[in-house]
Amino acid sequence: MRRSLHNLMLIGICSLCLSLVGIGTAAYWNFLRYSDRARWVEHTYKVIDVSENLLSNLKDAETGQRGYLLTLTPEYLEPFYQSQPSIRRAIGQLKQLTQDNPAQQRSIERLELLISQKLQELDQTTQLAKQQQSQAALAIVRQNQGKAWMDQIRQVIDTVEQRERLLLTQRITLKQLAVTQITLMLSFAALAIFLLMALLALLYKSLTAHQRAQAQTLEETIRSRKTLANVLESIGDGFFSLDENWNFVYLNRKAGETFGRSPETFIGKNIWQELPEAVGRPFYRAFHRAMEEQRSIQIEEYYSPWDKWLECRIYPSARGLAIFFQDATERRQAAFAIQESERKFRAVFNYTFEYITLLTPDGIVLEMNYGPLDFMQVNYETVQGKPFWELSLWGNSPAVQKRIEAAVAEAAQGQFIRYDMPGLKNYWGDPRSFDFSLKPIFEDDATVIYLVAEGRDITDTKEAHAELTLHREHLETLVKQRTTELMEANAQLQQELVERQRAEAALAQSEKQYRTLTENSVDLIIRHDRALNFLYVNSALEVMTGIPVKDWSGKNLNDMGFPSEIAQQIADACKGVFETGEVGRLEHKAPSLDGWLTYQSWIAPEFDDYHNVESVLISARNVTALKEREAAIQEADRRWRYLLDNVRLVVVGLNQRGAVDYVNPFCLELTGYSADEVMGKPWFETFLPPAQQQAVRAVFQELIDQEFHPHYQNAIVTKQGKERIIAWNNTQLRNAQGEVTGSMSIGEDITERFALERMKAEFISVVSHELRTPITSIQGALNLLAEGIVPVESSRGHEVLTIAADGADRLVTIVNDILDLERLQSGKVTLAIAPCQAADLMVQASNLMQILADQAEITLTTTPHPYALMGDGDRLIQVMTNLLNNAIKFSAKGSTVWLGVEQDAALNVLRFWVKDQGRGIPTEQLERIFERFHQVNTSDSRQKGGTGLGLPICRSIIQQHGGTIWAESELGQGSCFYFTVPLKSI
Amino acid sequence: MKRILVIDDEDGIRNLIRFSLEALTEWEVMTAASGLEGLAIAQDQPPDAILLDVMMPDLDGIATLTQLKLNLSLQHIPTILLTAKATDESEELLSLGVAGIIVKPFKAQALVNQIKQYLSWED
Repeated sequence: MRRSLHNLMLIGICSLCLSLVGIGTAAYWNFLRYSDRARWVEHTYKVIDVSENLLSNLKDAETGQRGYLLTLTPEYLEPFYQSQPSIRRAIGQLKQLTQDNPAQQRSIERLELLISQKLQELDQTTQLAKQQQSQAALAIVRQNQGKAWMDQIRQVIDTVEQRERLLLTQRITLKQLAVTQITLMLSFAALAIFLLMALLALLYKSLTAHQRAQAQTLEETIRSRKTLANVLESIGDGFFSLDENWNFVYLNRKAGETFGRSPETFIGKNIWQELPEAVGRPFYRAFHRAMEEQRSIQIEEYYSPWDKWLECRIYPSARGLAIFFQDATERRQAAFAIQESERKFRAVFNYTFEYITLLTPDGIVLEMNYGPLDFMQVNYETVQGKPFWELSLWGNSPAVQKRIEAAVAEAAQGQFIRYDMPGLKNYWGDPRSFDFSLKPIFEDDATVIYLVAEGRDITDTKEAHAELTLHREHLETLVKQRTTELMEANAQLQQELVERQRAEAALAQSEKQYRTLTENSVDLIIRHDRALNFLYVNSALEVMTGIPVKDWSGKNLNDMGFPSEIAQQIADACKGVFETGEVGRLEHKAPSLDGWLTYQSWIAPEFDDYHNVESVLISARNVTALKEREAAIQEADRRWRYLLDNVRLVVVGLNQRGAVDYVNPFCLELTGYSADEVMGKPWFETFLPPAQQQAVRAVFQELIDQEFHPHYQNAIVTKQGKERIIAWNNTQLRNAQGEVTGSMSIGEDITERFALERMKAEFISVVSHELRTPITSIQGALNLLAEGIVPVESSRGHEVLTIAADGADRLVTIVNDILDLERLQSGKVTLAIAPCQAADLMVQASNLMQILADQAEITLTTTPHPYALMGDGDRLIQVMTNLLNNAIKFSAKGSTVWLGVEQDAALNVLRFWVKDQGRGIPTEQLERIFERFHQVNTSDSRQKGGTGLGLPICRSIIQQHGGTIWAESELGQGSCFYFTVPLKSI
Repeated sequence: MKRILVIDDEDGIRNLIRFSLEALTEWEVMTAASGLEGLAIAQDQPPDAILLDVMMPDLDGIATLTQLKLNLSLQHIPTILLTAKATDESEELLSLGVAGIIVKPFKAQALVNQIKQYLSWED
């Protein structure tokens, strides 16, 4: 609305501006025209002026001529001469001025001709006069030619002037018109400017108003947002909003508290990155559904990372989600507790001795406890929803039914109805009497919302009463009959007395029967009055305490010697029931003859007719055994847990989906994870090498489904990325209902054992190869010869024999090496220790190797020093030759091998070294090359002809000397083998 | 006439196999002292069968076998592995798609018989 008005104004302003420009242009153009016209008017005036001047000059010239002719006085000649140039100038001017007008031009030309003739005549006459021929001159004048010219001149000038005046009139009119137009345009312009100003003023006003309104709106928005934020901050619900990319836009204080961080730290962050444990949970799915389907969702779910029930209301918008959430744990628990209490209360209701039925005011059965159901031998479903008076309880007597219906109607009016109901027959046909009552239950003390029908089986009491009454009546009759016979025998009276005693006994008997059920209950049944004195206790209490039942009446717990703490506990619970009128529950200890027992007590209120709690009925059950069993279970659980926590075996419990439910500390220690990083995570995806995941998962599924694979072996990956091999014992986990809930696996880390076994297998394989290869040569060769396949005498036979011999040589070398090494390592070889010179040994060794070095075209450089040492010279030479042999074998042609020695005074050893420029040894192999049959490259043995036992033998020899041997190397640069021999005093 | 290629780095054993086969059969025997050489010969003159030693320097028997199986023109050639390793590894080797395994040491006639049996070659 406002916008369109603005647009209208803007259009007005624009068009006004445009017309102003138009008017301006027109005015300017008009002004140009006006000045043009004004110039023309001036121009016309000038033409008239000039032509008049011309005429007057001509007159002056003529006058001068006349005067001179008449007087011959030269003074007259002066004006005559003076006027002549003015005339010529005037004609020139006229010519120029009338250039635009061809008619005038023509007149001017004619004028010029006339003037020149006139001037000629004047000049002629004047000359004649000067020459003293005045008469001749006058004669010429008299011819009147000059006058005729003059007249014509006047006529022409007149015409010119007239024309000009006509033009002047026209031009002045035009000039006036231009003035009028300019005036008009200026008026228009003034009007337009005025309008423009007015519009601008309006626009300004309107814009200011708009701006003010906008500012106001902004302020209101800010204020309302502030208010909203205040509300969101103060509400008990957690609130946060997310944008469409799941980033937090806003969180209130409560949400921050729940997430455990200040709300600011979440803003702009992605919810699933901040709360990764929520991913994949019902909330996650609900959020996504709300976002995708753009509908609000309410969800209440258990969120295990916080051990909480959360109620979540998710409201989507085009730009994200708004989420209110509430900790529903307590409500859940409360609801559960109420449910539990309802269940218990229902149990009390169902099993109470009284017959209780809950009815609508119309008499329809809502609830019925077991008493009447048992009486009728029907189940609850058959009575539910039926009118109370139609139940088989009342027999099939229409009279009784009518009476009950009437009673219900009366009770529905608010009456408390109570009467005896004799002669009701139960399912088995036994007649029973009831103390029947119908109690209306009020809401707000006015409306009856329920009726409670109660029946108490008083058959036994009734019978006793009837008997008693009968006896009394009988007695009275007797008394009446025998009043007059007062004096009858004393024996008669005695008899009556006995009979009365018997009747009273009968009554007592029946009351006892009535109480039997209660009395014989194993549960303690106690009734307290408001002062918490005992009104009634059953015999169970006597059994428990050894105090006879009769001694309890009128006493309180303290009187009976209960420890004051427990007495207080029970008293508090009872007071609660008295105050609230609701059933109370208590678990407490109590002393008994058998020591301390644990009781679970239900404290039920008993109301008087005015709905006041008159007394409470406590029914206490001995749960000591139950408690002990619970404790035993807890103890067993603790023991198991202790075992699992401390055992050096990996224990992992998985749920059905394969997520971790339990891991023991050893598992965490082995994998390097913390419990938080492990619990609830998918086991197979997190802990298994990717290549094995699928297979092991399948095994797990079979374990869950069919209880297969009790033993299994697989690798797991630690946090550091190392693989450990675990041998598992797997078992299904079942719940109390026997359903499979997951698996429990106990595993042994067999990584080292596994590696050892593999090493052993490799070793055997290598040895096998080393021994079998020469044997193959020997056996194959000999077989060819022996079988005559290749004739011995042939050249091929000779070749075959050489193969066998080479094989045999190689076998001998290997066997010797093995035996040598074994003897060295088992200590069966004793070194021949003697004083020797390092230099001698080095020279001997290098001499032995010189031929080989020459063959390989390798320079062998030995720098001997005459150090004295104690050692087995031959063995040390063996070590040096072995090392030199290796160095030569692994060196390229033209390179150098060095043998050197130095004394290390600090360690008191001689250190020998053999250095080459060969290909070098990888760092991780530097130690392993001293193992038996180990070669850097498994193929080296055949290529280089070694047995794989040289270095182990060297190590043995040096160790026997008490020295050490090791290698240092740089790949591609060469290796250096060192060994030390201790310097001993010689 | 069948043509068989023997690849073994041990000169003695390679020669013994050649002698045995040449003496006991009509087959044409080609020999190679390394996996690389063997592959080159096989490519050049495709044999009807290959006897391949497992433990060799550089390109060992398993690597050579892999190369053979990756080569479209050679992958169909039946290959018998020769090994001096412990016998309990032979099952693992059999799974590599070889015609058979012959364990060293061996006698000439038995070698020939075994080759014939593995390749179903008649005399």
